[in-house]
Amino acid sequence: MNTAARARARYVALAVLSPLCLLALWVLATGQGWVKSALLPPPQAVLVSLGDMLAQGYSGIGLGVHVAASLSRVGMAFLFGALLGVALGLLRGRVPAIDALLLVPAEMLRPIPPLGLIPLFILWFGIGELSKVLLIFLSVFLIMMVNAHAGARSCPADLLRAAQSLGASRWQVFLRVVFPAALPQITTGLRVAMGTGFSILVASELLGGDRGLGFIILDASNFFRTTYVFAGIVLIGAIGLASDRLIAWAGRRIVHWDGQR
Amino acid sequence: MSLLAADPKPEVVRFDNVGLDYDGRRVLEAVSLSIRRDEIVTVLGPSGCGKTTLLNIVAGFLQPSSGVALVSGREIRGPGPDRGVVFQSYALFDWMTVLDNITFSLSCAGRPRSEQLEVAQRMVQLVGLAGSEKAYPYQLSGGMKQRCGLARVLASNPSVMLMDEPFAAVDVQTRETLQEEILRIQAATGCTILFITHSIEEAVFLGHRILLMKRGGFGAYQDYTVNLPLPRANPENRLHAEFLRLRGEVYRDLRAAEVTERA
Repeated sequence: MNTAARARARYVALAVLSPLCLLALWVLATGQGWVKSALLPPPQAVLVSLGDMLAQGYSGIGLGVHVAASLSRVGMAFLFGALLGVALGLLRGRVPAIDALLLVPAEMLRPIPPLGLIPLFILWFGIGELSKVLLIFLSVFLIMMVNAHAGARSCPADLLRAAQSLGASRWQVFLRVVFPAALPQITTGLRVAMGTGFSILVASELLGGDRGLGFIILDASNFFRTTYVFAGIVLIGAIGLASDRLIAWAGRRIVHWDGQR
Repeated sequence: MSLLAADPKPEVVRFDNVGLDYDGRRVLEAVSLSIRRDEIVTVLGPSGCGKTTLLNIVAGFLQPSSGVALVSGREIRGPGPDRGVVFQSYALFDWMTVLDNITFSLSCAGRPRSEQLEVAQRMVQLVGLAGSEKAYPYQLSGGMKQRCGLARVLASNPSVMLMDEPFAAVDVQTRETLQEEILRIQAATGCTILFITHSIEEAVFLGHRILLMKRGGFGAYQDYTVNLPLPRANPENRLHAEFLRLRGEVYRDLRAAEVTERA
């Protein structure tokens, strides 16, 4: 085995080992009675609840429906938030007037916790799908705008000059140079935004409704069904992990030049 | 009237008293010069004398504060494909293959793909990149990267090629090879080149004319004509008596200029 392959195997081994260790610790801590099972149920019990949800659903709705509801909320918000955030972020990075116009509103909006916006969103958009999606959309949008902005700013001046002196129009420079030059930062932004999107999902499902992984967690915690709370958490975590790996993998394929210089 | 041997070739670049202020400081003062078609003009001078500023004005990256800068008889207004720039940093598009880098100017101009590929194929042959068309720039060595930078500029058939210390980042052997390549390509295509360098050897070996700028510009430079035997690409020229003589002369003048400034 060559050095690179050995380093890769070691990386994978460590990446698999760390969650297994945490799981072992969890089994140990609950099995030895170090923590009350009402506060931290043993993983076996969480697994049983998960199996129960898989078979019976939760509160009369199939688990698949819950997952699909959450995924579609995050997915929609992510798609539109990323599109708008990238477009405006890149423009801010290249056009000072647009940057100046968006600076104060965007930077004032960014530190506001999504939870603080929930009452307003209920007032403005009701308790349906729209306000849930918009809450996630807003966070994704702001994260993507910051990253795309930084990415556009990071484009080396020589590349812009080269493109201009090769006859590229402003629009061509933007699409064929600024945008690809920003892709490494955009990819990082997508990973951060995806994680944040899932974390806000739970908050957004506070806004009424009868389905979704966030709904399961909140509903179960209201009834002290701790094992279901954990089952919901584990599910969100697993879906988050899978989506993060998917973005990172696609990112490495698309942004193949990153880190090669 | 024209008793002198040949009619002079048409002027490609012309500066009339071009000055430039930057941050309220005069970085170039009243430079007048003329570069004719088929010429390689190399520019030498102490650091900070405004060599790169001069090139950036021709490229259209900087606008002169005073005077007139013309290319092909027209005042320079911003960058354009008639003035191709070869950068020290290569400035290749890492997300495009060598082929797509080379066809960039033609595709921006909306030329048909068949024409783009035909031109790219010729350029790849000309600069010696055959077989690397599908590679990405980061997979190439420094010398190959600059061949790609050269082909990318040549593809748009510019009136003048502007080269800003293009070989400063490659090792000595590669640099000498690339210098010979430049001379070979120039002889084959008859392109006009403005070449900025720090190296006296490079300036003498490549230049048909050498401009030695003084610090701060002040409009003053010395102009040397290089009389080396053809073909200029012959590496033996590096040992030629005229090469050695001119190198010595330019060296002494450059040192004298630096000493005067310090005094």
